[in-house]
Amino acid sequence: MPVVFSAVLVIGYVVLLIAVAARARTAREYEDFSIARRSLPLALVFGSLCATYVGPGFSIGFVGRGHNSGFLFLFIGAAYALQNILVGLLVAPKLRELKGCYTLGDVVGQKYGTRCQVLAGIISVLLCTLFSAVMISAGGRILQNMLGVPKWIAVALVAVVTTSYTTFGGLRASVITDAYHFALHAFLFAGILLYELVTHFQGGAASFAREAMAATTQGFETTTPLEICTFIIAFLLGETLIPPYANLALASRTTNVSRASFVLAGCFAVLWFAVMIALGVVARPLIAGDTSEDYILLKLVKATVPHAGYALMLVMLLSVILSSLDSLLNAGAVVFTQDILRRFTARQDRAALLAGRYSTIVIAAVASGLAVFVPTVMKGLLVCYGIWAPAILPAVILGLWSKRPRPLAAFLSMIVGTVVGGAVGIVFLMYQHQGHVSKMETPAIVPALICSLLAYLIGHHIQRFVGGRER
Amino acid sequence: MSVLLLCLVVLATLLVILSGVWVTIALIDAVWRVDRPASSLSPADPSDKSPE
Repeated sequence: MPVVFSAVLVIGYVVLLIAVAARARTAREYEDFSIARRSLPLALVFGSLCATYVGPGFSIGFVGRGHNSGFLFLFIGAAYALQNILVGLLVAPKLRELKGCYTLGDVVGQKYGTRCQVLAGIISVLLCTLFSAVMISAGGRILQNMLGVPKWIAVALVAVVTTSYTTFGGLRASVITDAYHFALHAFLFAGILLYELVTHFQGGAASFAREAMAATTQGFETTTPLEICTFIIAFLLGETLIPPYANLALASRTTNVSRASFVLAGCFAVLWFAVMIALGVVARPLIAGDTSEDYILLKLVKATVPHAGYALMLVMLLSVILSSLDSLLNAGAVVFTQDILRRFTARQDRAALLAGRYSTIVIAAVASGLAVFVPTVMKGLLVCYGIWAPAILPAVILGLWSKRPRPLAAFLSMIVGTVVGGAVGIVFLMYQHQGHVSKMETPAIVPALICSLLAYLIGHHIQRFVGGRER
Repeated sequence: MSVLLLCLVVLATLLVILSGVWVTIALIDAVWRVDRPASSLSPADPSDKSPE
């Protein structure tokens, strides 16, 4: 009976995913593939944003943090919510107002010229591929552990399933399947918390408060102020306007939808973190204290939902990973086509659509190859965060608000941000490997952002005083 | 105080479920109407505050 129930759960998930993806329809024009004809309604943009940012770190990771550090990470996670709200209020509507923009690179191109757009495109594609490699690696590990298949088969399965619907349906398919995955996240994770509170957690409100207080105190005692600052900065800036989010801002139906979706996604982040942390707190008396953070949720579900624990976890985790991966693949393909290929060739709609489809497959293939070398999900994500914000954000945000943006400033800022962010991230990883610094201290984003801002200012003043072609 | 903490957690959980319901309704609407000319994923209403 349990086997039948598990099989029904997993098959039901896959069949529904295929049905939803098939109904999303094949994109027949490039505008459909890249920005879904700028027709996305609020609920779908909101669902897609939330499903994309709820990856392994914001689900399994936060349950583990809740178990060991209580509500400390709700305060840290608030920085992520604040980032979304600020983007919604200040940046997303401005992006949506720009005419003829398909990507963040188009925004850079309109403000600084073609050379800067191509550079922004190269950095964005690199980052989307790295993020995709981290997600494919995480999905591969889950399938490998649960099904017992070799790692390369697990990695290939994750990549092939996601690539198939993203290649044909483009952004529309990605957003619609994200909405399906978002609904699954909301019902399954919240449902499990309510189930645990009602059926397994003993002692009621007083016991919950006691466990939460003990965990939070332990969290403040074991986390240094430097680590807290590092996390807050990484949460505040690390994922700001990464290509999938920027594409959603551009694909929203109106400027108001663009603004409201980011603000609501920020508010939802606080609710989501509270639920994940509460799951970690509830797990404290139910599972052994020495359990590794990444296995708290798995052990909790296996211990309390014995008949379908594995199948339930498989569905939850695959849903978490596929919803992030499809958005990254689509964004990487659109950026490659729009910011790089279309600057030189593939200007016809049909050619751009084909290029977008082939790019999706190539990025997925490269990311699958890289996935085998990703050490851990968190380390991979921290390297990506350390590069993205310093490389792109100063140029985009200062460009949007500046009356006379200067190309040299953006060019220098992107180059310096990428080089310093990548170099510091890799050096810190090597030091961590040798045990010289804590596993949490990876503040690559801070020095890289400072260098990037300095490079922007220097470039701005050089071009201002020396003169020369503005764009 | 302890009752308040648990109430806030349960409230957050219910709001997460409610968000799931809202997105599910939008998803069903989008999937249901996808073949119709005036679908919910059709281009933006020109009267909306939008540049395109």
